[in-house]
Amino acid sequence: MKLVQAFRSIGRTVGVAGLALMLSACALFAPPYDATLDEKTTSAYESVAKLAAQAEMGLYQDKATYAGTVDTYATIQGALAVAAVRAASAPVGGKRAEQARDMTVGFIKGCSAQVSGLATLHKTYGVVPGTGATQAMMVSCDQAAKAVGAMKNN
Amino acid sequence: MLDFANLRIDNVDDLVATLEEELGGVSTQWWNANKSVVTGYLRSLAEATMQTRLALANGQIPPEAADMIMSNQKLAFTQTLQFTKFMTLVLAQQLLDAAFKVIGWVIYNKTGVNLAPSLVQPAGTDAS
Repeated sequence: MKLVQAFRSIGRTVGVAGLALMLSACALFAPPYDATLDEKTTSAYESVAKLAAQAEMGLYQDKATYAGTVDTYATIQGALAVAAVRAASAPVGGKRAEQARDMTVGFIKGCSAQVSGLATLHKTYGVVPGTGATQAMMVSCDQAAKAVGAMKNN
Repeated sequence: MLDFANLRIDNVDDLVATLEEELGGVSTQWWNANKSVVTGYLRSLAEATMQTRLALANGQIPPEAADMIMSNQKLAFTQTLQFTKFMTLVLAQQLLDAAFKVIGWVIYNKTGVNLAPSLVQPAGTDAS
């Protein structure tokens, strides 16, 4: 069948507006890319990476250093909270995209939970370098950053 | 890379062939970019687990601290499993976008009507 005939047939049935809606409402499996969200999440992740690097260099081995680092933890948590709220408001066009959106929010909150986890460890025992204390936070926050940037090229 | 602006397709067979080629390209590109991502995460967490166990065995950290660290590692591993599911949804969306981009261009090139402005962006027009 010639394509022109096929499109004319579809057009008569659906109407141009309907077809445009069909072609444009395409966030069926994942929400569209959000540059602002990407920027906020990446910035928070960079702060997390700096925190992890400082911990692995021995800056927080003594739990007494926690008091001077509370502001750093709070700033990171604030940034992640903002990112989570923004991610939760992404437009979606179907159940699967809704699932992907909720997963993205989950990754950001997972990153936040890991930052809290490190803060608790720091406050209670200090963070000893080379003991596997920071990798979980880096992995979780990397996933959050990757999830937010996943649709970037589309 | 497909020359969308000069895409001229007049029958279903050609459209199918173009879609197959484009979607295959998207899949390959996605796979090449992401095949080692999850492996990387798992390796990082595995190394961390070994470090924690060794540190506990050497008395560098108390059992309670090791317990805290490993609890965080377990959460990260669980999240990694979720991440693999998420990436399949991303791939599905990218394939959908690739398919509608081809169809959108075919219609635009034939009729001048842009039915997918977020995907079809002719030179000189604003991105939507």
